[in-house]
Amino acid sequence: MDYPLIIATACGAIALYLMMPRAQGWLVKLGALIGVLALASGLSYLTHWASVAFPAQHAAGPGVFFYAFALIAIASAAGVVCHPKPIYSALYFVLMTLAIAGLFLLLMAEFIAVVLIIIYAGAILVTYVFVIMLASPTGVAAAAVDYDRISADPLVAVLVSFLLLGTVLETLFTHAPHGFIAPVAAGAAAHAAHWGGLAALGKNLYSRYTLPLELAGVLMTISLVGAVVIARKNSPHTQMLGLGDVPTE
Amino acid sequence: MFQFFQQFTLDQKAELFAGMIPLFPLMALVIIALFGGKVLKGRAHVPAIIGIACSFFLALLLLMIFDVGQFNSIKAALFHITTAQANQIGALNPEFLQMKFATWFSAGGFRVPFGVYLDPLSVLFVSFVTGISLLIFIYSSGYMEGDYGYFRFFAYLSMFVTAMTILVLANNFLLVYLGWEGVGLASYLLVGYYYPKRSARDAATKAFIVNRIGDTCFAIAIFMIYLTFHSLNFANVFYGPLQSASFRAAHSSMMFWIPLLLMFGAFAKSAQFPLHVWLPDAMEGPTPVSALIHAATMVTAGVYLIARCMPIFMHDLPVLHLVGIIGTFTAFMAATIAMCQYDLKRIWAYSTVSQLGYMFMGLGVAAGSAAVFHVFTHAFFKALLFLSSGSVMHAMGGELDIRKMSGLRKRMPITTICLLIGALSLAGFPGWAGFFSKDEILSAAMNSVWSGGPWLAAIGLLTALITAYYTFRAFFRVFMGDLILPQTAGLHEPSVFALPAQAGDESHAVHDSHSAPEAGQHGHDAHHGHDQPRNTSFDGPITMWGPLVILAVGATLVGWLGVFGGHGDQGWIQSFLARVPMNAGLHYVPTPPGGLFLPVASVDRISPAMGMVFGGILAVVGILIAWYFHLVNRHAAEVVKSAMRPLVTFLENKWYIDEIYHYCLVMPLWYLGRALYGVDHVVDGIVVNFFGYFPQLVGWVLKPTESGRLRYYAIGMVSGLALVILGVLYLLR
Amino acid sequence: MMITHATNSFSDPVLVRYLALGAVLFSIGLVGFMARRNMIMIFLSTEIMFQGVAINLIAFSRYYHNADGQSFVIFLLTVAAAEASLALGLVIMLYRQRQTLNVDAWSDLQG
Repeated sequence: MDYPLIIATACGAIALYLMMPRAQGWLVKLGALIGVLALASGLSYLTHWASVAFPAQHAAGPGVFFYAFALIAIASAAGVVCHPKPIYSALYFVLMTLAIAGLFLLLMAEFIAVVLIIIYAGAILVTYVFVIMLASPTGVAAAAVDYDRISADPLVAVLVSFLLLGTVLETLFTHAPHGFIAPVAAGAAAHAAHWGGLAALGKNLYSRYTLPLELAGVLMTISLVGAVVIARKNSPHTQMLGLGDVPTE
Repeated sequence: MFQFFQQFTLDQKAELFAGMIPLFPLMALVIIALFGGKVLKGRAHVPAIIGIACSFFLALLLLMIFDVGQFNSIKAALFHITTAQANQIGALNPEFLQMKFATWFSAGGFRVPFGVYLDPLSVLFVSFVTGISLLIFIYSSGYMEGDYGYFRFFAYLSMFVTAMTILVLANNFLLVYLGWEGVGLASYLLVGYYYPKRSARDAATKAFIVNRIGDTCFAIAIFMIYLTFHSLNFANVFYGPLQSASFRAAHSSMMFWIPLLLMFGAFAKSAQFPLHVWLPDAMEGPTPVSALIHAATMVTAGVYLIARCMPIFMHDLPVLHLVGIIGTFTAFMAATIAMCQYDLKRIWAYSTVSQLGYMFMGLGVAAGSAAVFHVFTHAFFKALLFLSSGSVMHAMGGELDIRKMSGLRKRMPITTICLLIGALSLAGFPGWAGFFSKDEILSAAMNSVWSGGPWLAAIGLLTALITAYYTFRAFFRVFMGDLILPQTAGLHEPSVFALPAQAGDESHAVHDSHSAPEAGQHGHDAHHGHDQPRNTSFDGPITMWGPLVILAVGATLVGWLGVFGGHGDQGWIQSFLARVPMNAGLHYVPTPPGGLFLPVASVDRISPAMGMVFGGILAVVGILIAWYFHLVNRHAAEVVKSAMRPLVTFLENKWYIDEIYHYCLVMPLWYLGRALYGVDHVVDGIVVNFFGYFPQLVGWVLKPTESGRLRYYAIGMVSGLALVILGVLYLLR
Repeated sequence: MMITHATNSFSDPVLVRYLALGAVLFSIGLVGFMARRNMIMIFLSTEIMFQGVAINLIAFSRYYHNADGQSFVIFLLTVAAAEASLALGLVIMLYRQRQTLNVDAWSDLQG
């Protein structure tokens, strides 16, 4: 058992619990404070852990860009989950996506990074924003709506999620030093020289995964048609399910 | 196609033809089943007739290939060989050919192939089955015209022929069983064809249930055969270790039970005492069905089975003799019952049971060729009798009571002549088919080395007298004398499918409302397009009397095949079937693989010619008795009848066998069922309901966990996952 | 560029950091999925979880010099996009029914 790790995870859990949308607004600021504490303790744990578990490779840290992007990603993810206004959540999500795209760049996946920004920040998020605008109650109705301002059972949710996170991190940090199947040492450098970039990805997609790629296209088409059918007003589908519009008086 | 066949040897051609024979009716079945109701409708007989005609053609080719020394020039032309080679066809063949086309199923070392077994026996069976079927299909297209479910009828018939050809061509017991059950199913469906009628449904159920007994016995026999011989293949069973005396001694109990169970299987299918009760009731089916299935072909499957398994029976003579005894008893009993029946079809039904008894008598004295010859001739004349009676029924509006009609020869000349020929054959009048085949069986029984044989022959001769009497009783009553027509004559039998049949024809319904009370039947009849004025011929369309004429010619000629056309002084049938190991007195070791030794011999007590003379005299005497009592002096018949009242009642009630079954089997079973129903109540009330309530209790306890809210399901999933990971980390290391 | 030259410096401890980040994002998304009551927010939380998984895949792809991981992310993006379009269509339909986005309004499966 790694007590520092558990403490850091627990701090994060408390922070997220406090930051969840709730009636008592001041608790959110306390939660943010504890969240900073949790991140800091996590960082210090990482440093300590690396020096103990991999004494020889201590120097080979991930660099400052990783920490910066990771910090932004975690903070903005917390923002997405915790902000009481969906539209702000969506904006936080864009920020998180950008940070993760940065991480992908660090991981030499430039194409994925670009695609992530185009699809998530560009396409999916725009759809979300549309729906948020379209389906939000306005005026008098908005005042009565509390489902965004008060979350449901945040304690249970945080406990369960961080129980999972704790077990995963525990596994990761205690088992990693003897864990992963190492990349083939001999010729790894030569392999690495040929690896990376768009060419390798394209070759992989269009040789090994040709059929899945085509099927993905089919899936997109189907979901396009499906979305149109489902969202249409008074579509036969909704009528069939007995979900047709309530007739207006 | 022709080029394709050239590459095969004659044997391979024969096997290919045999393999294709069941496929044509099968294709017809599929076509009719798919398109019959919507597309074909009244033309549903076309694919069936084409399919059966193709099969019949192939069967004729097979017959030629297996024939010894006949039609050589035709053979030479057909198979592209010289006449000299044609002379050798058949003679060169081993006693059988077999070929495996595909594997039906396999489990471990147990493999069941789709394969054919060709020898003169199966070839003869398949050719008369397809031939008679072809004629009856054509007859049916006229007889059943306009009936509701016309396509259904032809689909069932095609299914029957498929199964029957599989039965006779199969090369292993399990495939025979497939055909056996297939013909049973087709029979069930066709007996119950007029399913709105309660009697038809009951008859179908009865046929099916009685056949269950035999089929179960047959199935157990198959299991035993596999246990004993480790194979179900005919060649492996008959030509293998069965021939070694030490093997038979080691499996002596099996050597008794296998033929005994096979015998019961055969008896149920071939309606022998005590399992004969289903056949007379099966006459509820349409008449062509009675002719084809319940007279000519399916009921002879039992004869085929025992003839085929004769190498097994030959090594257990008590069972073989039991076959003969029961067959003879059935022949006598059914003939006496037939004397006192008044329904024309039922008379022929009991006569069929009786004639089947003759065949089993022949098998029982190890005269397989004679039995199969009788199967062959019987198929012709019994189909003829049934189809003629069908024409009578068709013309008389469904009436078949011989007391209500007389002198029909004046209205149905063709039918009268055809039925007369059939009756002469059945009665064994010299010169017609039944005469030769029946007398061959009787003389074989007389000459049997078994001392019981002559006794069987004596009862058989008495039965022959009775047969001649009841056959001509029916003929003289119905066709001779003064013209008496039943009320329903000229009307179409009112359809049991009244509602569906009339729903399709609104114009008639409108017309009917203006006419007489009988209008419903008239309208229905006009709908079928052969409304017969009362003073014209009742013979029916050519599709009906054409097959009758062909069958009549056949019934006149086929008997002579037992006298002429073979090698030496043998008839064609005897020399054709000579290579099949089913006759007494044959020490059978001609060709590989190994040959067969059949340990039964025969003696000479009576010459065949003497037997024929005896039989002929008895037939004539029987006909004369019938002539006196039923044509010359019908009043005398009534006097004799009232003098022998108890006996007549006994016979009219069919020896009370149905009643015995009712009180000995049906009623006890019914009470047992009632008792078990009470037990079931207890079980239901306590045991079953507990199992019913227990899940309810569990559900009641767990119900609150089903909140219907997404997040609690997610929480359940994730906490479960976390617990599993924790468990793996800390408990299982 | 500095990033490309860092090829050989991707070691086990670095991989573990990326995986931990993926796990953290996944868990945060999970909390949102369970605790938020707005259907749109629930779906947005699943998108966070998707991204956590994507980080794992890309990190392993980098670690093993294998393009499969990146290919999987392409498919993951496809599925995410399809899911988003369908899910949001469903959200619209459900919103029309009850004039609310509250997911607790739809608990018809309650036992």
